[in-house]
Amino acid sequence: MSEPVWKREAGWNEPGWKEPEPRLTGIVLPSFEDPAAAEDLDEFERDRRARTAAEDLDELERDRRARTAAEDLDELGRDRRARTAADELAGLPVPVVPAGPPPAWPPAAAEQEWAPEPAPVAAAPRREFPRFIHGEFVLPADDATQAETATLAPPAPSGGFDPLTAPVDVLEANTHAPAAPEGLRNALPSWGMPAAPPPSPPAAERWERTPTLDIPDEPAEPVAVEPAPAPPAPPPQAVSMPPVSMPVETVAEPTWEPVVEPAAARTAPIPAGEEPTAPVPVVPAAATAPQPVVPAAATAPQPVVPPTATAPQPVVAAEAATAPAARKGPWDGTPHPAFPDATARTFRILPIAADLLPLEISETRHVRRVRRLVISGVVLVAALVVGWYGVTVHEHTLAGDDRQSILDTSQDLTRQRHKQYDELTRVQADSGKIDERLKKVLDYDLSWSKMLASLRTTAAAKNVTLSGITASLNQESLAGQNQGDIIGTVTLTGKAPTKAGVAAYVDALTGVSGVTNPFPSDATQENDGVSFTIRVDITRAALGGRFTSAAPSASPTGSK
Amino acid sequence: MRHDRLWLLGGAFFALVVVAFGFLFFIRPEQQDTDTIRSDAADAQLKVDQQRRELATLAKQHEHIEEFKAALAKDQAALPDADRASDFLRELQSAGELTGVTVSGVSVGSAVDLKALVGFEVYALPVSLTVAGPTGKLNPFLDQLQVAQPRAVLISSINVAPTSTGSDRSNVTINLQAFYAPLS
Repeated sequence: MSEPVWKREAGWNEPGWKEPEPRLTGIVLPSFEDPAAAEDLDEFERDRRARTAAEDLDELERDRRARTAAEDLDELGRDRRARTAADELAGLPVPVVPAGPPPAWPPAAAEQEWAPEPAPVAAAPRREFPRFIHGEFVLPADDATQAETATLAPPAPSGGFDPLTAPVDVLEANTHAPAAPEGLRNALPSWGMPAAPPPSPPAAERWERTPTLDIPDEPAEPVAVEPAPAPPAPPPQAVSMPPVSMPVETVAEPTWEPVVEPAAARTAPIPAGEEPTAPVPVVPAAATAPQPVVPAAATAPQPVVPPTATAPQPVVAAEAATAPAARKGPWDGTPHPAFPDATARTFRILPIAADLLPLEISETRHVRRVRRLVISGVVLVAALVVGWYGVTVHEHTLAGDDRQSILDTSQDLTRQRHKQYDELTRVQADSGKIDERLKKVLDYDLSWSKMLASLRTTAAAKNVTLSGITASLNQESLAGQNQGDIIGTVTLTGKAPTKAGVAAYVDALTGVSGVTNPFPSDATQENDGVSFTIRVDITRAALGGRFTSAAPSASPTGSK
Repeated sequence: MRHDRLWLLGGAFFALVVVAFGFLFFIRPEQQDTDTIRSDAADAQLKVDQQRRELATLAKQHEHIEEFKAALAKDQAALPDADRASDFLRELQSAGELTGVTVSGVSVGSAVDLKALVGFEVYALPVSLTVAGPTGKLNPFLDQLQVAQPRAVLISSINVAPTSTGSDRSNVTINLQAFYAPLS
């Protein structure tokens, strides 16, 4: 076992050396080292060692006390409680009584985490301290809870001597100190086991530590134990334990947590007339209470079978029976040797913080974040551009598909046309081609019958007789190169009664359609009249044939 | 300038470069091609619509295909692919008989290629007719030549002269052209 740090300092074992006064100079993490030397032990450690030494009592004494405690128990359940009480008697007194506000070091969470077994159901209330939980200042339990705890607390000792707060030397010196409350019997020193039954307790049930539980009336397992060799348990002397003046917090948690004893308690005088006469109040109110108090271990998930009378153990309750098996550590309430007076306030985490990170590192991290952000943004933009290009390509593909679909449709229609209407189209094409050619070559076709009939009709109207008609198209027209309106000439010969008749006929020819420019070139008076020759020009108005107009003109005097 | 601002400005510039490069070299050409394709598709769609209309018209015309065939045959008779001089003579004879005149003489000259004049391959047969008959039946004969007979002719000149003084009969000399065009 290693020595404490302060012992390893130079000059600690010199004659003039004095143990430094323990005081807090800062927050120091607790060490799990156990002090080696006896002088290093604090009061709590001495108490623990005293209990360990008390276990070396001879079995005869324990058996005797156990039999005495189990005398009045008729039923098996009472025998079991008697044995439990005997075991409690066998448990040697603890030289230190936990008193004062128990510190919360180690923290409650760690304590629960490292607890060797589940906490008893009827655990007494603990004193709470203001704590910082997640940065918030949490106040202790409300006043109502405290008031309730206060009502359950045992009465204060009348003589001013408080065994719970008295130092060990005072307790050892004053063996007639009043008995400790039942809940703290396991913490009582050796003087706490009186032989004579104390007076009946005024309100034993009221300040019972653990709440009473309904135990089913099936004493199968516990009853199976042979209670025969065990002597009858003593009367419920513990019920008559005098009231002890004890702080509520102290009553609540009789664990091995560090004790901060007030100075006044250490010097409190022991009441003379109220010495603890009931050494082992094994089963308080067992005879009178309708529902006996069950030790805490009885409510554990796996109830511990009470030991037989031949091997009684102290009643430090079930927690005391199982606790020694677990590893002891600071989380069990043992204060750090260097800070025996440390409290929860000492180990609290201050709600302050400071960012001591170097500026260079912060800036480097910021730049790194910005770089990641920028790169991500650029990649995102590139992805968007790629997506845009993909959309464009998709549209291009769709447009190409549409065009191809339309072209395919056109080809299908063309194919259908050739398949179904090829003959019709060929007939129409040939017919149209021939019509076009005929129209071209017959461009200067005219209805000669119509023209001749008009000339004759006009001559007859003027009493003129036509004997010869000579008409022809000019060469330009036949070549298709005539640009003028005159396409041919007509020469008319005949006889008229007078020259005036010839002139009248010439004048009348101006009104004939298709001819123009009538010109009497010759008029000769003969015996039977005037023979004349008139020349007129044929105009485009006379054109019109079968293939050059929709309705080719026909002679009004035709045979048709 | 701080490194973070440099990264921000550089990233923004690089993003702009990426966008511009992608738009100018990849996206814009693709869009132009897409526009061209869409224009072609619109034209093709118009063509398809026209084809559909034509098919509908053809469907209706197909019901009268025999009439179209008759018209083609008539056209082919008007402008045969060969001279068909013999057929033409028979037609003249028939026309004279139908109209009551006498076609006394027919002279057919050699074919004249009119391609230089009309622009396509066509030949003209110069024909000279001598017809004698009553003057009142000359016009029906002319109508028979120009309208009724199948062969298309172009009368270039007519000379009507009475056979004798005071007679009702006339001798008509007609110069005309009969055409034929081989189908190519």
